[in-house]
Amino acid sequence: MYRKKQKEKRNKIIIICTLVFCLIIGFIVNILVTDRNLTIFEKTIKDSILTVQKVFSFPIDFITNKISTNNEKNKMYEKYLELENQVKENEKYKVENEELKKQLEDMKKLLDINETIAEYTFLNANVISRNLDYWSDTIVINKGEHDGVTKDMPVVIGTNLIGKVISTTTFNSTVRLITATDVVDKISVKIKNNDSYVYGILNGYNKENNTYTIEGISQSIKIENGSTVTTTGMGDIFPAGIVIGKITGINTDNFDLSNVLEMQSDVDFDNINYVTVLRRNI
Amino acid sequence: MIVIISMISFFLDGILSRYILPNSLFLPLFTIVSLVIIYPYFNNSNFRYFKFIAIIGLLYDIAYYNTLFYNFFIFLILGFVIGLLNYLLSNNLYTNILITITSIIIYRIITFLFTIIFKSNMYSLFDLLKSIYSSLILNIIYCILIYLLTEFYSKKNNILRSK
Repeated sequence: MYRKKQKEKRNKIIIICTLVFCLIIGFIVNILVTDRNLTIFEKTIKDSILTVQKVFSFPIDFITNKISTNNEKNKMYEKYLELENQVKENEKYKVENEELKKQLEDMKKLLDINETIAEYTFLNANVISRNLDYWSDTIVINKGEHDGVTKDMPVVIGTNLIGKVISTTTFNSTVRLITATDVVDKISVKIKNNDSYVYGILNGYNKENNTYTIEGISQSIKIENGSTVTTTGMGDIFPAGIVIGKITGINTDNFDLSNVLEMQSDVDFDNINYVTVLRRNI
Repeated sequence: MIVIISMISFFLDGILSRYILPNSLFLPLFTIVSLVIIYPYFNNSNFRYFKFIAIIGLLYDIAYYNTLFYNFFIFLILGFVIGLLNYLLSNNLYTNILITITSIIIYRIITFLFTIIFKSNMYSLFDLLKSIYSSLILNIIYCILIYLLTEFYSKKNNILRSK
């Protein structure tokens, strides 16, 4: 009888300890989640702190802008010649683009489609600060809910994808870069291979080589180095046709069953000052 | 003075993050340095000190990390270590540098462990070492500067602090 009671008591202690342990683990995991919706209280505090930070950093920004403007002025003539050549080339693309737009509109009318997965509107933003956490890769931009930014919107520089919005406040947003190693989303991508496209999945970033890994491509398909990688538009987050980078290496997986491609981005992730948020229309 | 040092360090962390590259050898952790510098000005009132750093930790979480209670807990642990080292060592420039180095190492180790256990296993011990040594130079310089400034100011205005 005494032993039975002792055993029951021990079992109770074990159950309580397990529950407490699970609660502690759950709590720790919960406090580490960075892409959650912030409460109004958090949003207000964050906006206030970042506003003060903007005021403090104004003189530094002013001086750095002056220096970079001066440097730009010195290179102006070279740039003018370069742009002159580009304008001549652009005329050709402009005519081609207008023709393609017209064809697309006609096809949309024919098929009764309002918008496609490649359509989005642009919203330019400045970078206010970068991550202080050594183990993540995020930036804070000066556009928030007030400007129509919502969670999961893709962010680009020029035509290159750099990340997505993970949380928003009224006047600011946090963007997780695709170089972050704690990225949980896999991006559906297509690689231009001669006249056709090969589809794969962007699966992580290698910090040592500064390359990304693309998986899910059959070994029978031959892909050349330098091929352009763009988003497919599949999934809810990234619209189609955003450039991510270029193929720099082709390997096989551990079982020799499929190709594993190495890709490098054209973006200098160490020097991000201005970004564009894409608002998908569909 | 305590609030001014903490606030300046807090905002400098955010401002400098834009200009200092993530791979550089000069990563700022000025808020942690300020925790070391301000401790003697609480005159052994640990409760007030812990209350203060809990608020700073919470603000740090909200403003820079998008988390809640993450830095709050880490800062409390650091506060305990800083209090203990201040109890064992006398307060001077060299001990302040030593406590700053210890705090930075502890901070990096705790965040590293949290990251590899709960978020990503893609980091190695070499990354941890890199994160530590790249945070030391700038923060030690900042520690020396802010220590000398506070020392000068407190002597001039006869501000009491624990030895």
